[in-house]
Amino acid sequence: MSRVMRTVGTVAALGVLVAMPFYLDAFWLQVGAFMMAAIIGAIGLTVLVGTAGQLSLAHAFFLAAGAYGYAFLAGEPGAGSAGTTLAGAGLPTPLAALLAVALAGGAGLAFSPVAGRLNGLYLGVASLGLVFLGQHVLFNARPVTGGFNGRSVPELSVFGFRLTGDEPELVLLGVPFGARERLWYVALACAVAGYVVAGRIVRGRPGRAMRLMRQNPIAAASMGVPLRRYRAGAFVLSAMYAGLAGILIALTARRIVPDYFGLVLSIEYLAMVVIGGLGSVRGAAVGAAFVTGLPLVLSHYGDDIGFLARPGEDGVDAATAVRMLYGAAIVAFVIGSAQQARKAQKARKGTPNAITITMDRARRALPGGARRRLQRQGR
Amino acid sequence: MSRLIELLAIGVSLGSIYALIAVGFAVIFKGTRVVNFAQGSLLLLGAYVVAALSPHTGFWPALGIGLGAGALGGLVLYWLVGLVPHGEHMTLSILTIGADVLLATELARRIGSRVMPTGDPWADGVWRVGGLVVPYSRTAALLSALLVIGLLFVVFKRTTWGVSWRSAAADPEVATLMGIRLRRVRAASWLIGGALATLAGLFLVAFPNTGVEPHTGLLALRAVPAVIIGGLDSPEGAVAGGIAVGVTETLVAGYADELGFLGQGAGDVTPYLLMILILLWRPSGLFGSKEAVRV
Amino acid sequence: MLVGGCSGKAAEGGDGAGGDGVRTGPGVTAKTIKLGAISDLSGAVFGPLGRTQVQGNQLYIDKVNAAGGICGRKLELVVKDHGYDVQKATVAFSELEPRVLGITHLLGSPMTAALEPEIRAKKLLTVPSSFASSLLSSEYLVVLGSTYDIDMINGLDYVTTKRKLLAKGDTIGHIYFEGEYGANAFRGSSWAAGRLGLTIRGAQIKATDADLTAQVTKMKAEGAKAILLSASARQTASVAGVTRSIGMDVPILTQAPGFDPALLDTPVRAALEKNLTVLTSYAPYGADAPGPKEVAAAFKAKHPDAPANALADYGYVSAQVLGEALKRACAEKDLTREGLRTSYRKLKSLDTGGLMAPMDFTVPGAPASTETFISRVDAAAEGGLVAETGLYRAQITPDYKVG
Repeated sequence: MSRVMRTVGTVAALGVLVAMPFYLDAFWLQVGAFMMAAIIGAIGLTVLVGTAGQLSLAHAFFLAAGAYGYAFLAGEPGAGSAGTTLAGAGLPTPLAALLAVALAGGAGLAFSPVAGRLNGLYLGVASLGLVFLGQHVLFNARPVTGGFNGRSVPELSVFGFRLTGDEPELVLLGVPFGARERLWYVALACAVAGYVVAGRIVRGRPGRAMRLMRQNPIAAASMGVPLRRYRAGAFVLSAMYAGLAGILIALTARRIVPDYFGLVLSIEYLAMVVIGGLGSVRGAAVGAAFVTGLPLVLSHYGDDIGFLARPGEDGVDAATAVRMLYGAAIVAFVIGSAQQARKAQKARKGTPNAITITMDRARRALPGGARRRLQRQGR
Repeated sequence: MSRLIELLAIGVSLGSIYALIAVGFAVIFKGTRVVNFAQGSLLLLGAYVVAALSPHTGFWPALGIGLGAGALGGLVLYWLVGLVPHGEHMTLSILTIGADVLLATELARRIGSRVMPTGDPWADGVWRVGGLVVPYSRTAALLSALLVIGLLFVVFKRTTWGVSWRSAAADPEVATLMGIRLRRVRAASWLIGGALATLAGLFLVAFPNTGVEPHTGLLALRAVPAVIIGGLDSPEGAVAGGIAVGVTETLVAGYADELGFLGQGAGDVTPYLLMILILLWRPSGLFGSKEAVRV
Repeated sequence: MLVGGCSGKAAEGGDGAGGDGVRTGPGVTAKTIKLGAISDLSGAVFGPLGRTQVQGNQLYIDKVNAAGGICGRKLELVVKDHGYDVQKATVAFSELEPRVLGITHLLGSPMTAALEPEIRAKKLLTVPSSFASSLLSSEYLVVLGSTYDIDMINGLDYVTTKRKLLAKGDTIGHIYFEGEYGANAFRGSSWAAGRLGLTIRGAQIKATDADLTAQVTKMKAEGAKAILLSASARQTASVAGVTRSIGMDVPILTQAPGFDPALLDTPVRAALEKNLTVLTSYAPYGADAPGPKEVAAAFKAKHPDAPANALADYGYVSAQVLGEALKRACAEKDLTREGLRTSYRKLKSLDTGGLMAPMDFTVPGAPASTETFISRVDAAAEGGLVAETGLYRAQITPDYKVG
């Protein structure tokens, strides 16, 4: 595709996204906002896992850091639900949002010494521990988090104009612009900015250094890449993306509860970046839209699927079918994209190098039986 | 003091079940480098089959079929994973998440609101030794864990097959060149992992629990810190890890009043804290093999 | 102009009036009144419970429609699943909200907490599937019957003063879930223990804790003479099994979520029959009163294979309260959301034919009833419970301030 075509395509896509709130109802706007929040979070994770090669299952923790950080920093002290007394810093909301992103980044920095010591799956599961510890804190630090019932999220506003609320009333081209319409634009702006910045980082010098670090840390170190700093940097960046995503999720949901920020959420984010192809910013965006949107959209149309039992009746109902479809989609997506990648790889057939030449020689030297077996295994 | 001993006994008996789950994880991981997130559903599958059949066939035949069902489930997963040639381990692990959702949803639908007892012979019997109370079922779990793991240990260390399994796990490329059939080795890992899941599931739903419920599979997650503490690729370590987690959890829950500063429900998270601390000390777990530095 | 012109969103009317002079709100047309339910139908933990309650909702709606509907309109139930996920519940709510007049069933306390501000903002009368008294302060949440804390007070008083199983100075243990259910129940039991001269020890657990051996042995070590349990059925099973195996023969009191007839197929049945007392604000399934008998018959006719469970009764009453409020609102010719709420606030001594205690919704912030059904386990009974007494209210209960 030529550069001009690509630019035209991008502008057209953005134009469609900007026009959406004029057409979509509250349900779709909310699904869209959740999707965009997930896109931001997934981009952060793909940089960490795909580019820098550090498996993290702690994403839910950093999402929570952003969400609760914002709710606490922007929130006023007062009575919470179930007899709790909430503390709150009462800062102006945009400042609170910035600080919350910084807070999430700080949490990432604090965890990076642990990350520096661990490799591969061990890092992944250690970061999983962070999710459980984090949730424990969310349940117990009641003045800050509101405990089990969570706390409500103040609307984002600039000079009295609610960016995610209904006041002051606003009607554009005959369409009332309430909280959901405005939130769409906030989320869209954040998502586009996040996308562009991540793209630059991944394609630029830091991205090259991180990729080298993932593929061969010793080579990277000998070429002057400060490993420790880059590892920590990747964690901080990813945590800040997660923090921003967390704030958007909080603003969309309007109330945050600890239950949400658990293991399942972390795994969902991992699924997003794997489905999209590790290390690909665009892939992460697609994966995020897929994983977040699919169950919501499917259940939206679930009632209209004729052969299913109605909810509450016996038999396979829509809710169960949706869940199964979701599982099947993940399986199909992973298998499909892997086989596609393999075909593409076969078509390319990399140029021979020392390793493949040696392997070829070794193969030829093998007795017939072993060679056929190898062929069957695709080696 | 007697309270401490009592809690230790409960912790060890609980830990033996975690150990069984953890060994399943570890065998699959060591053989195929895949973290099987569907282990929980496999466990539920096996336990469900045992519970569904035992009223008709009696417990022991049902157990045999259940072990077969778990192993078969493992094989199906192996087949699924095989559809992704040369996939990154992380991609394969995500694949198992999809499979887990599918299997867990279908089983939950089948079980519905029932609680299905497996009809195991231990029922609610208990040993009483000097004020100490230990359920038969937990003793059976501990003995089974030790027996199974001992057996695996012998097979891995002493038989030709075990040697090929270990060498395939250590370096698939070289093993292939040596003529070891990777497919068989990997299939065997999934088979063993699935059967172990059934066994773990059986003890998990046995007394003091009541039976198979739709969310029994979620309990498999409790074994995750156990696997990591022991070392992901170490079946022996999984036993130590399982018992460490069981004991920690029980002690913290048992002394909840004295440990009030940790917050309510600290018993569930201390295993994770322990896991992180141990990883900081030994980055590959207590018994895990250290990753060689690649040059 | 172009954009606005194409958009269907621009034209959205406010409240209208039907041809019959009745003011109508969202979800109401000339022929139908739509009500919503947001439940967990696919999740592993609460899925089966959610399903039964929605089935109960539907039983009431079927009955009303067979009799011609309300206000000349048929009732229709729109059900959405959240799979016990807060984000899905939020989305389900914004999808459902513009289409319905009220919500007959909202399951899950994290979901209720997350949706409460929206429910208030949209003035959408909602029946949460919870008896927590902390919800009473919310004007648009309908808490049926007696609350968890009051059930605990009544139950504890009953075993102490009537059955004489506990005496002044005894120690009791209370195992309870984190979250509003457990916290609310523990508040009630602590207050009652103070009044009855008992010492109470609490242990908080998580919904996923299945093996309570550690907690129970601790209570034995502390000499507990009874165990209160505000958890779910699996924990009840665990406590019953453990107490029996360690020779701790004490009464166990649990609440509505803590009992499930499915437990009676398991080895702990004998222990449950011997020691378990269940405190609920709805009658046992198929109890000897016109309401329960009717629901049981209808339930069996419609779902012959489904296990009998009193949650169907509760689901039935949830819809019935909205139905009664609708009838009243119809008489006032105001089928708007505010009209529904004001009518609901006028329901005094609502009779459910013995499904629940007579309920009074006229006092904001007060529980609709302070009477508790006290039942014991009988495996021979369908639904597993039989009444131990009729409705019971302790003498001390009126002194208790819900909070």
